[in-house]
Amino acid sequence: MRREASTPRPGWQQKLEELGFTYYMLEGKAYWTEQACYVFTADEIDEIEAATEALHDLCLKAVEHVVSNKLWQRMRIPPTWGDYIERVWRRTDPTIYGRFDLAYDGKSPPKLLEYNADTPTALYEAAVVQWYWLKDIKPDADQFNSIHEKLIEAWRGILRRLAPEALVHFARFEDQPEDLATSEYLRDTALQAGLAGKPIAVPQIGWNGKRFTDLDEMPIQVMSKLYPWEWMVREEFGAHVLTDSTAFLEPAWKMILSNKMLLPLLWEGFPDHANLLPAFEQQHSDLGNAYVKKPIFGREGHNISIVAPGLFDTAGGSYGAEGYVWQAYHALPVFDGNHAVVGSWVVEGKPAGIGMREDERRITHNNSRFVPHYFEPGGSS
Amino acid sequence: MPSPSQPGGPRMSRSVKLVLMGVAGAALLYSCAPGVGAGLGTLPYLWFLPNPFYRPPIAAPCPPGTPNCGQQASTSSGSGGGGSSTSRGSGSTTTDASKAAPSQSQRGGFGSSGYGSSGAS
Repeated sequence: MRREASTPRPGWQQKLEELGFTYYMLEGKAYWTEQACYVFTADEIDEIEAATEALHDLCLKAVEHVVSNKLWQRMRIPPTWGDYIERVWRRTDPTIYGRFDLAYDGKSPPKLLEYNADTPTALYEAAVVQWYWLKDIKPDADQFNSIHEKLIEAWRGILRRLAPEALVHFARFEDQPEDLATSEYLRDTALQAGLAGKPIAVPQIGWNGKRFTDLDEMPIQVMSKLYPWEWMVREEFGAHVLTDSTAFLEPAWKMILSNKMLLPLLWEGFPDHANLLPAFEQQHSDLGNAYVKKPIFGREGHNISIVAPGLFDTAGGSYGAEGYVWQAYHALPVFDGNHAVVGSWVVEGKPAGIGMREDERRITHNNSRFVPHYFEPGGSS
Repeated sequence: MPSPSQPGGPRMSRSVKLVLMGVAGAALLYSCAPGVGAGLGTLPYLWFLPNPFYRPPIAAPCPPGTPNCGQQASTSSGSGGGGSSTSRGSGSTTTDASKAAPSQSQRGGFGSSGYGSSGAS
């Protein structure tokens, strides 16, 4: 694994905009860069792929453990939601996608930092934008990226479970470019799979006393939402979900996996697993003097603190009211002063590709740069 | 190189994506055109559909000789097999369609929690 300097394509901004990828600058800083790329060997990609598959399997076992033992209080999920989550889980309501964030340096096994299982973004740039970069810059190279094809296949699987007239609504915040792109891209793949899709802004979702509705007063049967479950649970319309006449993507059992309490739960169930870091509900002697404190319901790196000898880094925010978990500190690899994290995509439960993010800071956040990647045959880079 | 998880299948996209996307795909991506299917909500039966992933339990067949076997089958909560008087097929839902007059929905019950962000991660 290495970071390689790369010459940007002539007119690269226009190329990105032609793809609809307009948010390559965020808050005045580059979000997409092609002045560099990450290079892997095929063996390294195999290792990431295998770790992703293994971690997803562990996560499914964790969901079963939580549901079977009704660990709602521990997960900070209202117990009134327990029956609903169990019902959705038992009838195997489908999942489309999720993204593991992994610490990986090509030398030691990938380590799970967190699972963005409910509302992952950076999807379009991983599935499509970096693919076009590869075709332009390294047409003979490979990229770990079958996200697009797997998304379409996942939607086809959902189509087979729905009535022919079924319509999927895609709910998101339309003033957030990244959210809009992710949701529209999902809708595009659903359409390519043969489903009908209709966009709606999250605040426009209606409730008519019986059903969730769109602006045409049309009942919403299936809702692909880019809005966190833990927020929906506590909002005014949250209780209506429990009547269970609308199906959600991602399903409510993802509330267990997008929850940082998953990390200590996994460590309890599978201690010393090669792809896990020690994690606990409170400070623990096994953490030594180097740990990362993460809010149970936190996003985009907010309210994360890193504590290690000679090191303290923290990111502000408004999360943490539900408590924190403590995870052993595992330094991200640094390339040319950039801390690199692997976002490993899972589509319909299977590894589907990666997107690389990097930042000068140790805490990856919403605007951390997306950097394309490719891989070479063989075992060393 | 074949994928360990997909013997014989491609792990990489190769040319497939270039066929699927392109300018037309990008145009679609940001079109935000009204979705196909708008207007389906006027069909009254949609108001009564259960969760679309719900599958009612299938009644177990009675062993031969079981007393009241026919009655058990007909009163099960299954998909309507066996019974005639209490079967709950989709037809029974349409009888309530006249009560399904869509009303003006309340809105804004989702979307108030953001801490300056949409919650995507």
